[in-house]
Amino acid sequence: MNRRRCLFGLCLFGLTLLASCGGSGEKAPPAPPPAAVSKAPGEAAFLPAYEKRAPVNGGTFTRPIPVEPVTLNPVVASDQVSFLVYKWIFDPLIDMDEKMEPTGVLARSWEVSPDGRNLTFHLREDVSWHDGKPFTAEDVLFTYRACMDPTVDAVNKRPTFAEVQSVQAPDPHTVVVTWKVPYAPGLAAWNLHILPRHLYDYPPGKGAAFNQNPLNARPVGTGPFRFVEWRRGEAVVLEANPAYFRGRPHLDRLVFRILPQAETQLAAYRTGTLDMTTLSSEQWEEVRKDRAFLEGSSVFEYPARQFFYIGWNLDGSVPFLGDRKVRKALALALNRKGVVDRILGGHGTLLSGPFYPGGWEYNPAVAPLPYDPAEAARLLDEAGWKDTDGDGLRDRGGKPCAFECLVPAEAEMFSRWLEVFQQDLRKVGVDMRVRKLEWGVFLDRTHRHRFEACLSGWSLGDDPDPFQLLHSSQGKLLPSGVGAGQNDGAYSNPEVDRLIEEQQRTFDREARRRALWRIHEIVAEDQPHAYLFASTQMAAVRNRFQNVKASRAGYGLFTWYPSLLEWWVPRELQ
Amino acid sequence: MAAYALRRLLLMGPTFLLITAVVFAAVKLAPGNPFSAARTAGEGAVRQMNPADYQDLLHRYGLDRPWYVQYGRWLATLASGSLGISYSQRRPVSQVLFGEAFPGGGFLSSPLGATLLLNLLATLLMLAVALPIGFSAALKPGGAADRLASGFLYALYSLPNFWVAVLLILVVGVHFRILPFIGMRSEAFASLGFWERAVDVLRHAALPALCLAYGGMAYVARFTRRALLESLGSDFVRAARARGLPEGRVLWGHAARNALLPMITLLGLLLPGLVSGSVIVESLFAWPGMGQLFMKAVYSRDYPVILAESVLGAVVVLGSTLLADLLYGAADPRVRLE
Amino acid sequence: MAPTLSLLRRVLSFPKRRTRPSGLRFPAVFLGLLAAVSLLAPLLANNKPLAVDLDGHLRFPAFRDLLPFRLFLRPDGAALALERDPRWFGPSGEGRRRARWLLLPPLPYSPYETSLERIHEPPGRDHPLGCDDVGRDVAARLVHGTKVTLLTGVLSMALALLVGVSLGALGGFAGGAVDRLLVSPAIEVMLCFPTFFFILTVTAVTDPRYLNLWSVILVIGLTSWAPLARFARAEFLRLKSAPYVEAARALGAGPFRQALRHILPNASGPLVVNAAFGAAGAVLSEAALSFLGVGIQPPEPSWGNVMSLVVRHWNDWWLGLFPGAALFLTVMAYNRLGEALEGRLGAGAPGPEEAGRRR
Repeated sequence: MNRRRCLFGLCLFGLTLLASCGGSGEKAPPAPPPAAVSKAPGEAAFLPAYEKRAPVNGGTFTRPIPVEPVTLNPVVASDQVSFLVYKWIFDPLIDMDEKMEPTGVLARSWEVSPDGRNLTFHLREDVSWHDGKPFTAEDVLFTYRACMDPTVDAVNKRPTFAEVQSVQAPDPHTVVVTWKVPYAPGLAAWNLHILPRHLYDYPPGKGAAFNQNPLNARPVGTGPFRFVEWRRGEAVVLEANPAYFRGRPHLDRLVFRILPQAETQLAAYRTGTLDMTTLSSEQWEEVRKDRAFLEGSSVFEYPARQFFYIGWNLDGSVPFLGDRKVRKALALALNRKGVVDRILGGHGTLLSGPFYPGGWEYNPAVAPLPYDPAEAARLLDEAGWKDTDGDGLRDRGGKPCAFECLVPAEAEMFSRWLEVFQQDLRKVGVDMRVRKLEWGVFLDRTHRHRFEACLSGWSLGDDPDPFQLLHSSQGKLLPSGVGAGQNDGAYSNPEVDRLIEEQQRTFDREARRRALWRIHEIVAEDQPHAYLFASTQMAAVRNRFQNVKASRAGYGLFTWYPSLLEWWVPRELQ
Repeated sequence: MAAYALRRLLLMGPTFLLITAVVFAAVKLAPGNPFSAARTAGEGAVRQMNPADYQDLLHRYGLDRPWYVQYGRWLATLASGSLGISYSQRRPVSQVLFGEAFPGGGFLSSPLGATLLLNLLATLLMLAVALPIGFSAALKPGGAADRLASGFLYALYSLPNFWVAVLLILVVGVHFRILPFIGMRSEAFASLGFWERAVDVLRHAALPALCLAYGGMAYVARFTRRALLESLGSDFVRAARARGLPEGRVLWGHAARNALLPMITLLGLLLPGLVSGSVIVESLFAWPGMGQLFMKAVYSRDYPVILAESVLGAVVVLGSTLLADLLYGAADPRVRLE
Repeated sequence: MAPTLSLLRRVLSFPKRRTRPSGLRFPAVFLGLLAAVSLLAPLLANNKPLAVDLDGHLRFPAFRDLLPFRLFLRPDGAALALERDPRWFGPSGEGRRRARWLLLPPLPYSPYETSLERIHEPPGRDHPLGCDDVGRDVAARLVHGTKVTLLTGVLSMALALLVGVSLGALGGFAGGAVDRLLVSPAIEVMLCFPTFFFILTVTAVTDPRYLNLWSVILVIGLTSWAPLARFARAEFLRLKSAPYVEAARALGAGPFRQALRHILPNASGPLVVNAAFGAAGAVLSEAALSFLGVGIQPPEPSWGNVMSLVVRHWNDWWLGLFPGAALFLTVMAYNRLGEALEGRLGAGAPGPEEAGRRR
């Protein structure tokens, strides 16, 4: 019995070998791999034949999304995926362009009053909704009021307008925003997508009607694409809006396919079901040798507006974390560059503060901490943490130098980094225990400041204001037990507080830059977080799409204006 | 028998309450609520929601009341015939589960329809392969089919389903490109005729159904084999043979019929599996079914959806157990249902 | 005590009822091998030497990791040095230079040591089964992960048996209101209970990393007892009116004695068989839990979590093949065990729930 069955079983496994051979490229004669294949940010991808030609209309673009959108109502939706879909159906007043400068979409122009408290938008007059009715300032007012209505589930839109005193529409094509005090980050808040009042209006005080409006599943906006259908669990389909004020987008259709498993993305791209795929560094290593893959795709590499950090809890519950020297030592002991080089394949940038490397707000004089375990050991000795009981761990006064780091379980890559960091810290005599928590639980613990250290990512917004992350008011615990803001480690430095408030009050770019650079310096000294790195992302798009470009400011392929609206497919390739 | 059925139905009530209460308590034990992730979600470093607003939000949805109060309110909603409103999708849960037009063409595109379809196909596949094998294994103990049943099928059972899924995707989907492996329908579905649509769905369902079916084949085959063997060894079969009946009639007229009884039990146990979607298989193949919905609902703490799915599961399990018992009683007059 | 002895006697000594060979040999040998490997794991795969003459002293560092010693022995100098540098006894390590001679285990790697240089290394001379995505040796992880597989199979079924048989016996034996109002509803609740919540809740509440193996066992055990309870109940119901039980009752035996001494030994056949098949299912469940990320957490090794890596890194075929082969053989062994017991102890249908169980 055994022999035959075991043999059979082993044959079954042999299929994996076959499969793995089949997965990567053909057995072509060895040729040198194409050099410098990926496009840098700002570089547009063209097939040589079409670079000088004029764009034509037509073509369908299919892209994957990891989960289903929650709702296609911009005021109610709070998740990234819904945004990726509804941003093509609706327009905001202003949006960020490829270089992170605000550019007018529904607003033709705008100006700030000399005292810095009034912002006036002059709206375009040639815009109409998908159902034909004209767009006016009334719609802007309506959308704003819906955000501020307590019975509407505008869960995270409301705080962006916290400093607003009033919003008025003196005439159908002008909107005036008045702030209580001059507030520079307030401009960026108006990338709010506008809803039509005549379709979404609801009885005053009955926000539930707005939240559950059936139009949330078949929205009507002013955007470049119109809604076609939403096959739940499968895909959302949009088609070009021929009456768009900028002229119709060249592409005919956008299809968002729902694909929960990231690994199947690449496989689906290869078999033609998808027109784009993101590439992890390992996948990139695999496909760069695949000639057929490269000949059909444009590959892009761009830094994302996101960085990863280990947040320390500074509220006193972990004694040694309260010492700045210790925090610096811990950061020095982590081999961040090693992780970037080996695990991320070099696709990452070390950073020294919570700002976008390469942005105007980032202080280039503040260098990221090097990997220096010897210096780390020295600093720990100096801080009084030595191994007195011979168990390999430092301690002081009977307490071991040990802590627990929380990490969301769904982010597998975090766990891999932590495994390396765990060993790094062990080498200097510090014990880090890793605790994986389900996402909802992780958020709950960090919001309640019930953690010692946590590994997390931070998405940088359109405005570099670090208020949420660094201001002491955002680190206080409320009576209900949750934190007032996102300063989960309760970092508090009066000088930083003052500088943050200062840069919020002025619209002068130079003054803001000086304040932000000083904040950067102080934070690099204080180390409230161990800043790990900013990731670069890679994506492949079928090269039949022309004029595809990644933003220079980290907005990737889609999140800037106009991005996809300028893509086109030559007639022969449609 | 009618009295028995009625009594069972009445007893189902408290059982059902107990099931839903336990599920609800377990769900509430996990920290977090539908809006905790939304507090800091969104594009960019969005400012945290004002705590007063957040409390107000919780209050509006009744999430700040003690768990038994929330449970009571949910029961009241259920009693009035509604499954509630989904927190994350903000539309009625009945629409979430059953689709917008129910019954009708829309049902196929609902999570329940998608899962039922996939599981039905998987069960049919499993039975189609395993029943004949089990049957012939019983007829020829020690023969080829018997060895197949205990060897090959057990080997299949020992492979974890995510592993087999990846293998199938790589070999069948990517390398040979025979079958699609993403989703339930292709983009061109709307423009296809009726039969072409059916073929499209079947092609998409082939790989996931195979992943779901292979594991149970071993048991079904052995179960059938044992049932038939016992039946073949029983007295009435020997009597039939002694009477000189041809083997065919002995087999089909007598032995197989008796083997049906345990098969009813088997079916009764397979039924509940039909509505529960496999989380792993559905997410690997992007099949828009109940498993995916369930995972999403748990992660976003969408209590009405979670509870509705448990209700559905409970109803199906209780119903199918009752059905199996009743059928058994009807099929075998010797069984007295007291 | 007595029921166990009688069970053992029946298993080991009796004449075979079937025409097919009993097949108890393969499972016994294989599972015994697994038990040996899991107990001796620190001697098979370790970056500490089995014996070394360090600075003139003879030491046996690897032996200090064996289970009974590990609990009360403090780490010695060699162990401390290895914490700082896992390759201390490696070809270029300081330890090797200072040692006059040393004897390394067959796999001179710890299952925990990561290495950025060895990421995704395919099987080769240095690492016979390759390395995983953070550079840990796969063979070492499989060796140390054996205990997870064994314990998951055995202990979760033991727990399920304990709970299931107690409840089922209670219901079947006592009958009446206790059965109708307590036991049967409990069994039916359990059958519909969505296991994922339970897992989620347990993950949220458990603390130190060591609890993870036990939380997996607890979860699987506490969600698998319902079919066993159903069987136990049916058997007890059937056997409580058996003549020998009535005889015992007439002689004055109380309910416990009747249940334990008389009914249980005769009911145990189908239960043990089911438990054997259930152990196979438990092992597969652990792999599924690891895939979903809620099983044994790295850096603790388990076959399931090595195998689940292949889903994320399709080209690393060795991550899927070797643990898969090991899992395959283990599940086969448990199934063979179940079949062999079935042959010796009499009929007991295998759980058709497995046919419908959705992971």
